[in-house]
Amino acid sequence: MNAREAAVLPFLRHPGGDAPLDRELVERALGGESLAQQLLYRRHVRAVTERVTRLLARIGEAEDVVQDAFVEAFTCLPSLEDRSRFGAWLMRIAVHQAHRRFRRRRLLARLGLDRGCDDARLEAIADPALDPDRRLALGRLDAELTRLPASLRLAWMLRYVEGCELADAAAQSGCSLATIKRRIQRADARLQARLGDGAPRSRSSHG
Amino acid sequence: MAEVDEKSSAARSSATLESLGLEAPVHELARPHVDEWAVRRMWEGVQRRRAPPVGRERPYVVALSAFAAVAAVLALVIAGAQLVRSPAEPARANVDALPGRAEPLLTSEARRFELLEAPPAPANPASPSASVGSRATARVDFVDGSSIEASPGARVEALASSPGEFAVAVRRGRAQFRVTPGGPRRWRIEASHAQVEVLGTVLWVESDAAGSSVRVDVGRVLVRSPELPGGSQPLAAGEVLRLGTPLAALDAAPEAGAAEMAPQVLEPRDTATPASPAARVERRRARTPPLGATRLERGAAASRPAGSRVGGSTAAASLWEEADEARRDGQPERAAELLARLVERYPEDSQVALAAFTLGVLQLDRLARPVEAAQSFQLALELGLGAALRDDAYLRWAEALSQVRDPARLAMVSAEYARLYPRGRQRAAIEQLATAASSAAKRRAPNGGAAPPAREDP
Repeated sequence: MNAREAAVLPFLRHPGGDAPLDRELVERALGGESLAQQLLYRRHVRAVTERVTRLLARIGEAEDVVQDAFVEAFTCLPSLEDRSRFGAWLMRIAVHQAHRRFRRRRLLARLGLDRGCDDARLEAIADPALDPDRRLALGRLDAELTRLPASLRLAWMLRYVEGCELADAAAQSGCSLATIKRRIQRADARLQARLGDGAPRSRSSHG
Repeated sequence: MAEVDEKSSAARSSATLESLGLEAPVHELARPHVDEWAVRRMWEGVQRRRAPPVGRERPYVVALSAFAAVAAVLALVIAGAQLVRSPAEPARANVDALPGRAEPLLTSEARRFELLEAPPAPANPASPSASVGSRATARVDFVDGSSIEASPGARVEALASSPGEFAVAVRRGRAQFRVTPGGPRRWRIEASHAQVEVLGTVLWVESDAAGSSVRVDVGRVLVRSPELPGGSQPLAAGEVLRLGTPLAALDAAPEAGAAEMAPQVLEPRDTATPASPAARVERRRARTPPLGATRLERGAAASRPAGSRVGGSTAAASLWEEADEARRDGQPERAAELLARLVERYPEDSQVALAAFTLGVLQLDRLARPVEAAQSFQLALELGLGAALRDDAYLRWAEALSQVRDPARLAMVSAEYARLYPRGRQRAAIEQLATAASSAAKRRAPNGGAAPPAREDP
């Protein structure tokens, strides 16, 4: 990469595991560069939004949470010790905010004030090319996930929907490894009890 | 039920998913579309929320809001009654009351700004070639990108910080203020004999007991003083206002080459009723960027480490000048490199959006690098390129995307332009490019499907 590319291309690079670039941007942001914050935002916003949208199943709430997460991240940036881990740290903040949003949603529902609509269920945002059987399966999964307690739902989704390692899922949920394992097991058991029998199988293992 | 074991191959499999005929991780199958609109909308939201909180409507706070509104009306009535009793109450009293009621503007170290004081200059000053930044200056950066740099011997004190205003006083000496435009706060700078109101700009304020001087380098400010006709005077870039006894002039810039920037005295705006003979407005013959750049400073700028923000405006000006020279000399590679460096190192420079645009033009027209050009035009627009060039930037962005055969992004650009400028003069051209790219992609793709973009989405 020549000097020119080094100067411009990293600005809009798609998010990835480029920890040195994150570290540099964090340091520049801490130095007061507003553009560095914007670049950090651009590098991570899509990944964070996708995850939070799947977790919350609501586009509007997800965008709200993503904005809150970035605000919290930028405000607390001086407290980030390993600056190359900005992405993971930000994701932890976002998932934590999503968890809080679940709790608030439940409170509002009890008061009859939750007027939100699950417009980003897994089935709704599924790949248009997905075969009908698996789309139907996603729909059934959606329905059962909404019946799980927030902590179980979050743990199970981080593990099996987002594909997180157990340690990452535990960190993002703010609990111990043992707790996350227990939550995932309990969630899977509940889902299995409701979905295990009679769930349609896809015609092929690959879509 | 699957065992949840990190080490086993079944760690990522779930009995539930297996029974449903799904494979983990499911996110491969369900990916919400996060388009450019959402990205920009959320960024605007982040910026708004980083400002001190304003009430967001939530169902369960409606009643509380109504109660608060009633309380506010009562408070206004009481406050109004107090004002009637003491109409000559100075503004300072309100300012002093502000800090405790709202979020302060924090420094980049997440601290509250209180005082900035630079040690006095040595008796035998450095050589004239030294830039301001290389002397014993003191500087504070704020989280919104604004900064204050005190020259040797200067003292700047905080007065107040609230959602709508950040106030400081230049007690003595000279200080440079770089106020990030678009922020939620109005900056107020108090000096001897004057009060300066700022939105987003770069300016110098010098003050002592005898008087004060204000020099605007970028943007526009409003100076209030009883010595001014009508009590106030707007000041534009390149203008200097002196109040009270003239000081060691700000226009006697510390940079070498100041002679060519000597101020030119203008006619007072209101010569019929000059409130004070000491108040004079002067305009520099300085070129843009206003602080100018001397050739001696170029060496200093080049020797600074990357990312150094000391003397940023002058160093950025040097890069601009060198890039212009390179362009005139038929060296587009060199010019692009300099502009890229300017964009990277001085993102808060007032001309950075223009630099990104110019860089894009070079990359597209002279260097045949449409991928980089597309990124530069997008960056220029995101950095707030001036209205006069936004049309062209969109068209050129579309041209670059057309060259890299990226119909998806081209369609996005076309839709964005149409939304922002329904009657824009480039709308037809951009839509034509988008349609042509889409048709070409369909022809290229087998079965008439959409072709994948030629490059990764930035």
